[in-house]
Amino acid sequence: MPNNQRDFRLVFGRVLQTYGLLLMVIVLLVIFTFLNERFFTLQNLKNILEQNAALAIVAVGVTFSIISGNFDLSPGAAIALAGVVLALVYTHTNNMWIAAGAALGVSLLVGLFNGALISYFRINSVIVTLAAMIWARGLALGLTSADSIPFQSRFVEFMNNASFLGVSPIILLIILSFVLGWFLLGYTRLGRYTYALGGDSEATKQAGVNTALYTLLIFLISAFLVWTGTLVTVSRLSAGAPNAVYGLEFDAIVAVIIGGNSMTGGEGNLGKTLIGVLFIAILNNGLSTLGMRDSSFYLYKGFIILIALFFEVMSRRMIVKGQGSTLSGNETVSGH
Amino acid sequence: MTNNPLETSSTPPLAKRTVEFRKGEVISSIFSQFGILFIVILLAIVFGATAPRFLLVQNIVNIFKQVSVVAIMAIGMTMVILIGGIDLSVGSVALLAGATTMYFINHEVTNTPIAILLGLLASALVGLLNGVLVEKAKISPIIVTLGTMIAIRGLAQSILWLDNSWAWVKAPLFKFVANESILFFPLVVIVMLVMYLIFWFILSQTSFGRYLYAIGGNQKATYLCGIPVERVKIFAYTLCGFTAGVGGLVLISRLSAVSPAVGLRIEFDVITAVILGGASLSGGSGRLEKTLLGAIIVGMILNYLTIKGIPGTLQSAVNGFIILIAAVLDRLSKVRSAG
Amino acid sequence: MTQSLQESPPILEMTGITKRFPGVLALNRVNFSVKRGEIHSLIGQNGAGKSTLMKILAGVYSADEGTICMEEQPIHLRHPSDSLNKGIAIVYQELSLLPNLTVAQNIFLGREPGKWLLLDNKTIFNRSRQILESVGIDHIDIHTKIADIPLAQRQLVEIAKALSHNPKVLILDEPTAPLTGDDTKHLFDILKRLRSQGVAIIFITHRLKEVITYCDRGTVLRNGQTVGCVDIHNTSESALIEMMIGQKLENFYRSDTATKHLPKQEVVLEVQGLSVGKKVRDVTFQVRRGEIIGITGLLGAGQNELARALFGIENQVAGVIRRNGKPVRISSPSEAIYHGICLLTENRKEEGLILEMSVKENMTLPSLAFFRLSKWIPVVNHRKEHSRVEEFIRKVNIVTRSANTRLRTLSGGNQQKTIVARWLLRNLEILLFIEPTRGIDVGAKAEIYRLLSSLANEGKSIIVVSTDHVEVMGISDRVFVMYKGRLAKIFDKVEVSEEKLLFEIQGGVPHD
Repeated sequence: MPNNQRDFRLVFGRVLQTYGLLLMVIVLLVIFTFLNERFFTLQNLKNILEQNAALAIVAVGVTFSIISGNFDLSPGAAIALAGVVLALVYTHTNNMWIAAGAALGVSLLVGLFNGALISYFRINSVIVTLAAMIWARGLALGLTSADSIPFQSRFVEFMNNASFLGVSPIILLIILSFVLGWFLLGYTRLGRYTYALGGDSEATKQAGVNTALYTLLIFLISAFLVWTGTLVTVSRLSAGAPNAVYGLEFDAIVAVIIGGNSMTGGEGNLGKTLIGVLFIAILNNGLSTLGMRDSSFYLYKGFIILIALFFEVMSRRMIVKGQGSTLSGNETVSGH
Repeated sequence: MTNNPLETSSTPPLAKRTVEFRKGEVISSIFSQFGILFIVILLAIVFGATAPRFLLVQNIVNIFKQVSVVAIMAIGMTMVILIGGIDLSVGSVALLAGATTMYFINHEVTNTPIAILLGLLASALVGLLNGVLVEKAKISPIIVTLGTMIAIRGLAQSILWLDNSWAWVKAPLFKFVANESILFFPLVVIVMLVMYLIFWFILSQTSFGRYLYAIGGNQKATYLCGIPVERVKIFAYTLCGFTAGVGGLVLISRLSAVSPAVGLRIEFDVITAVILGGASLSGGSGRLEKTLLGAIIVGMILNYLTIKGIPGTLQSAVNGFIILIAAVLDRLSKVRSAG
Repeated sequence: MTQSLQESPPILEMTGITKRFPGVLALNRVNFSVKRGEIHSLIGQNGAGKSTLMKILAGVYSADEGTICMEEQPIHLRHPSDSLNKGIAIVYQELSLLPNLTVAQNIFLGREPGKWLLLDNKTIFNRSRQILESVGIDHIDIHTKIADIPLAQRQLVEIAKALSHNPKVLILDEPTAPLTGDDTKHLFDILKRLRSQGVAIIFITHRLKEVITYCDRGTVLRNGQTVGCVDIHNTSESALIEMMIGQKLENFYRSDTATKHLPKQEVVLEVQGLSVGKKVRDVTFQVRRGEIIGITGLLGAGQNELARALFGIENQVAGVIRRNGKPVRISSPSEAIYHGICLLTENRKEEGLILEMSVKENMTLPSLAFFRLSKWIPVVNHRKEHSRVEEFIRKVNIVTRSANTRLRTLSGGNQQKTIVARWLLRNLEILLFIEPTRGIDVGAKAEIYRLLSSLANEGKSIIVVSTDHVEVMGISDRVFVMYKGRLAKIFDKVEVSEEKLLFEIQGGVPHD
């Protein structure tokens, strides 16, 4: 009976969906430990997290936008811009409060601008955030004539060297970001409507939800996390660098997706994002500690990501096919 | 549209009707075409008035030369956007075509024409890979092409590393294309125009072109007409890889070297050109001639900024806003026509 | 409820309701009233004005004339929220639940209790449980996602969602269409409980058996007018049918007698034991050359799925399809077309029209290969294409400025004729039409009927699927009636009458 086959697909798909990436994380850990004896040490594991702190923090915001059915390609460029502004303001005022405030303002402005175009002007989020990715990076480069602005401050000292019960402020910020995101997603209207928007924005609107407002809020949350990511980035570089975190948005989106959050929105959670982030972080660190060239690095990284994506999509399709018996009524045209 | 005499009179013979109304349609289609042409002319006047050097023949020829690469790559992008997709990997594919071709030429594996064919084959294969992953594995095109964008740049750079990360373009054919002109037209511009002619023909005269517009307009309906939708879409991605490869070869002939950074971020310029040309990211609309004008607008603005001494870094910021302005204008015009 | 129904005053009263749409008088001075604690059915054929009347109650449309009184106070309903505030809740045919949210989340979507941004999940869960309990469906776990529960239960959740507004009047628009017998019974158990709590329930349905079995009173609408209000306990199904049909409609359907020599024609399509999941069960029939077969049934009786399965766009199809005696495999439209079968679906906009393309491009899409310069060069011969399209524009009588006009600018009837012409131009032997005349005006309807008739005379075999039984009766040589996925009855044109047909559509209950 095809029923057995269907059940098998369902079970196998679910297992792959739930544990597939975790398994790949472990496989990566094992491989890198074999290739490099210094890889699996406490110091390096801490390093992995701190190196990829901005990625982890930004991925929380990207999870919101993807669940709501939008794409956000702008966080990397926004971090660069906010970081440059922070460094410029700090070197002129010598006051970290003002500098951080200015960076927060810039982050929120970018988020507001993107969010307003997407929610009120109803322009495709890919275009809006792709444009932001270009103009924000361009502004960052233009403001500094493409140079980094190094600076020294107690804040940077604190971020890099302080420790609470063995946890550095940077890792603490990652934890706080995930807790904030988890709280917002699970316990607030904003979170509820984030899922609803991704499920069916038209039906959500008909239920009386101000969908434009909540779309805007989602991008503002993302902007706040961009600011947090900026603080981490400038601290680690001890500078505002217009070329910082190049490609971060790609890593963030990929982490969210291969973690198992649905590409089309409406589903997902931060636990999945966390595993996705760990996967990318280990991949980044592991490949770079092997001492390979940039070119090989990107080649391996790209193809490993494609493989992970492929498994993620396959497991999803298996589940859908396995459920075929109960859900066939919804999709009648099998081709598309 | 409201003063349609047909609605009042009883049905006159069809042939007569058709002739009568075709005139009106020609005018309206010229007008809709005129929109973007109007912007080109307006920009030319404004730029010419504020920077006299802008309108010199030498500079205009220059703009066309600069535009040629983006314009060629925008051909394939127009097709992919037409079917509701997107391809972010074109910059990396351009580098791959250049690196592959130069490897075969510089190591004297094959003669130049065959090396070029192999380079274009490689880029078309990447397009095919994109298409298969999008259509068969059903992964969103943004994510697929982000992945290939990273991976293919890595692959191409690995090929370059076989020659110490940098390859000089020594083949005479490339130098010839980059430097020679026929009458006033530089060969690179002629290559661009020939590409546009070929693909204009494909889009408007073949069933494949018709299917692309149909899929963009209503994919489900097209499928229900028995059209092999998946195959058509995969072929569109393949062609996009191909035109990205052609663009890449023109680019390296102009640069006379292949560096690892060739084609970096060019996908934004390409997408900007297509969006400026009025294509919508949801698919179904997009015309090659308008894409060409869109590419020319991008080229004009960047050229003007250079003349005015605006640094290249800020130029890319301007580029980002151009896309947004185009998108907002498009949105507003849709709202108006709907209301 | 000791008070008898006869004595209690109406909780809701609509008087003299008139509603005009461009070119159509949808409702003409309709009177309608319901009482507290009754299940009141609204009965009428397709297009009788039931949905329009209910949409006025739901605040979606506003009436041009007439008054609405609630508990003897006049009320004005300008927006759906007005209706909800007055205690009128409606459950539409298309469900409005979000599949990715849980039952509880759906029930309170858009009006979650809690302060500011914070959700009061505890209250949401408790009240959801209470509501589900109060309608007797507490076996549904409130934490299950809607996507994971069966269709019948989604319907119940939708009702629970409507009840969370504490309505005094609950409107259900054909809630039983997708339900099986047991689920229907369960639904009515819930409705009876609500009735005993004093809720007034308005129930729209096509299934007269349900009306007779479960409802208290019924109002019959016909052509936008009230025919009358009856006490269901003192009436019969046949009396209701008479009220619905009224005087005989003028017959502008196929009147020729060319069908007499049909049995001599060869069988072109044979379907044996065809099943589609649980929606179509074990259907067997034959189609002959030049024959028009009409398939009718209640909404969701499986007739649409049957036709779609023959075109290769349904999953889980079992059974054998034979073309000219040979078994064929049809699992995609291109295979169906290869075997000479085409389909016009009921979703014109989503599955047929390409609005931004021209009439010509829409028409030749499946047959572009005919206009190639040569077999191996896929270049379109525009002149050949154009002249062929003009020929069909004339043949089907499409009113358009030219072949190059965008389809978007045409009227609904002309759009429909364009996609009919699409398949005529493809020149296939078997044409399947689902609801070919839905939503188009009478003139265009008549033209399409004439066209079908002339196609059949040319030797095409046509299957028309329609819930409009009068239409099916008028145009078909044979009428198939489907009921709950089975082919319940086959009528020959000579033996069919509207009364017999309606009884079979309702499930073939015997009557006296």
